[in-house]
Amino acid sequence: MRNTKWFTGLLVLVMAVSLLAGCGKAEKAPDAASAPAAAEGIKIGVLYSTTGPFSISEKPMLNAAKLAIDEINAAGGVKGKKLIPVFEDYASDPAKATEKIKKLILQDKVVATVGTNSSASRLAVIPDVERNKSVLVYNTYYEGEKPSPNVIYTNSVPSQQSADFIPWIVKNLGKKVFFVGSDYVFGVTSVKKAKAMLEKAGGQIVGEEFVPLGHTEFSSLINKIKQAKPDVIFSAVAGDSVVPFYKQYQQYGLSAKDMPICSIATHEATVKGIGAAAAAGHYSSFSYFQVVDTPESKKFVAAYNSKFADNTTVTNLAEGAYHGVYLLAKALEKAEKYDGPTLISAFKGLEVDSPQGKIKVDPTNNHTWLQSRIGKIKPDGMFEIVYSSNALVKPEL
Amino acid sequence: MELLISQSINGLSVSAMLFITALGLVIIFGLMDVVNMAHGEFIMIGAYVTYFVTTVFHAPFVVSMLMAFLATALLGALIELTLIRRLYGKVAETLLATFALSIILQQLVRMAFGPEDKFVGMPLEGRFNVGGIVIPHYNLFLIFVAVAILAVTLALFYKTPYGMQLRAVTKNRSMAQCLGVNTARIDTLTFACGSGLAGLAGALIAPVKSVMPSMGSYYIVDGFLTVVLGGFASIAGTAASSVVISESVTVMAGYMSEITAKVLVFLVIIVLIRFKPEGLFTTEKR
Repeated sequence: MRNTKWFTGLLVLVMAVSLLAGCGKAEKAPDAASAPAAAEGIKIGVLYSTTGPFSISEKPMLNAAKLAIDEINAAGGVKGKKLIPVFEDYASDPAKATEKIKKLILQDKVVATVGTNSSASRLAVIPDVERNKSVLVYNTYYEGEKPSPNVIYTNSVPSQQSADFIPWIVKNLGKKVFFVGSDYVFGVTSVKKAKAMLEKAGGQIVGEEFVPLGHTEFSSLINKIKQAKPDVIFSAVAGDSVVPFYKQYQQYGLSAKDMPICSIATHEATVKGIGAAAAAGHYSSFSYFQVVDTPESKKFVAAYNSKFADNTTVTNLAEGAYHGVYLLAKALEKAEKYDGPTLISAFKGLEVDSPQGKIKVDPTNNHTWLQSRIGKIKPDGMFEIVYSSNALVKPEL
Repeated sequence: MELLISQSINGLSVSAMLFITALGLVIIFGLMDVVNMAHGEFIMIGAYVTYFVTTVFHAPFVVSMLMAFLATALLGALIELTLIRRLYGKVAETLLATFALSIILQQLVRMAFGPEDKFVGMPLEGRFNVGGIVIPHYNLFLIFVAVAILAVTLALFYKTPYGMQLRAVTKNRSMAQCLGVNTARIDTLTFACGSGLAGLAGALIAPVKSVMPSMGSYYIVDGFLTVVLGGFASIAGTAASSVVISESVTVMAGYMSEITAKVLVFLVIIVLIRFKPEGLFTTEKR
């Protein structure tokens, strides 16, 4: 009997603690609870996980979105009204994201929501966004499949990340390419698109391997790479596998000098985890790197680092969330009323000066024309930009 | 042929890693009947201790191994005294409580140190290159440490008074109690030992894996699989099943996709367990 009581007490305690841990951030979120009536401002939902495994990407995105909202409000808001963010944490659980988007749309009556990150979480909220004719601004690079008419995609699709990258690889690093990827929709689709581009660019596919998402043991893959003797490894290895892949690549004696890894998912934050020694010499392709030399980028990075001392790093994802909010503000400025269809059409053709440079929403497909850059990791672990596109790259699905 | 040899040697270091990460689990699960879902988080905490010792304070890697063991053992003892102690004999409840514990520990680390990967450097650079077959020094070190841990643990359990008492408690708790064994103390020590081994595992894998709050979740499934195949209470069995699983996956992965290899091996294990549910290398247990 005594034990049962104890256990019940314990369970209550555990639940209380995890509730606190789970919701602490959302409850403390600025302005949400004490916000003035909607008439005095424009409510937007901000849906990112600060808890659970996805927070590795979403915490920086949340920070960047907050930063953009604060800047826009400090500069007078939209049509004289302040943006009122309603923060929700879906705890890295797509099912919970569905609940939260319903709450944001139906209870908080937000005009649009910025957020979600993994494809699973995006696809989990889309049915409710569509059903309620709301708007989602999605700021992560993704596989470019099943686009929704109610979503504005502000980061790249595989064709954008590879369009310049593959021809550049063939020209500068070598023709024989070994493809590796994480075995899920982003990895598989990206490798498929990149292979097609390689054939067009006159390269040669010498191997193709997928590893399970979250895989951490790369000795077999590295052996296969060595057998195939490629000039270059094209990597769509993503998530938690990135750090062990590079570490073990070096451990087994493969070097960036002989066989560089050209990745579309390795960014500044993962490079910190890999360590400069193992990361140096490899390449990544993104629309934005922290070292991009525009006034907007310098201001963004400085503001981010001074405002958030929480062990997070500015990456392409954070920049995506930042320019996503700016695009949303501009669309809100342009739209006459804030129902879904009007707001979506206000996005079409919109341009902003973002940290990566000028970007533009495509007039037809809800995706964004972006910059294209290739970064080489220097011995100090920072990226050095070795290629920048002269023109914006079209989002081709 | 070169691929086969090279994959078999790789398989040994993978086995060593699997054994090291699963050993704490077999001690806690096999000997104490506690399904410790927080095992992965002890591994994670061990890896974070290593990060602080080696990267932040620039101390030698060996110090971090020791610190990781001590820190997680201490935490394990604390958790046993406050939480696990109340739940002995209730397997399902230990599962729930330790699952909650794993979420709490993970999120606490995330809030304290941020969600991103931490860097732990490679303590043993360099590799042997024998006719195109590359063997990193660190892999040999891992194999050596795994064998050493196996020997020390076996000696501890079979050659010391503590080990004798522990085995008595495992076989028949109330009888051991009647004969004057301080079962509460044995429980705490055993849980601390299992947790400490998880922390040590965290230290050892940190240089080649990612160090982040959610890293533990990747080791727990393979860990349980190893324990189940090896036989719940058998330390030597865990060692044997680590080698069986890792060698077969790694050698097969040389000739097919990593995913297919893993699926095939797991299928075989399911069939094996259907016909030999007590595991391949079981010691008798009442």
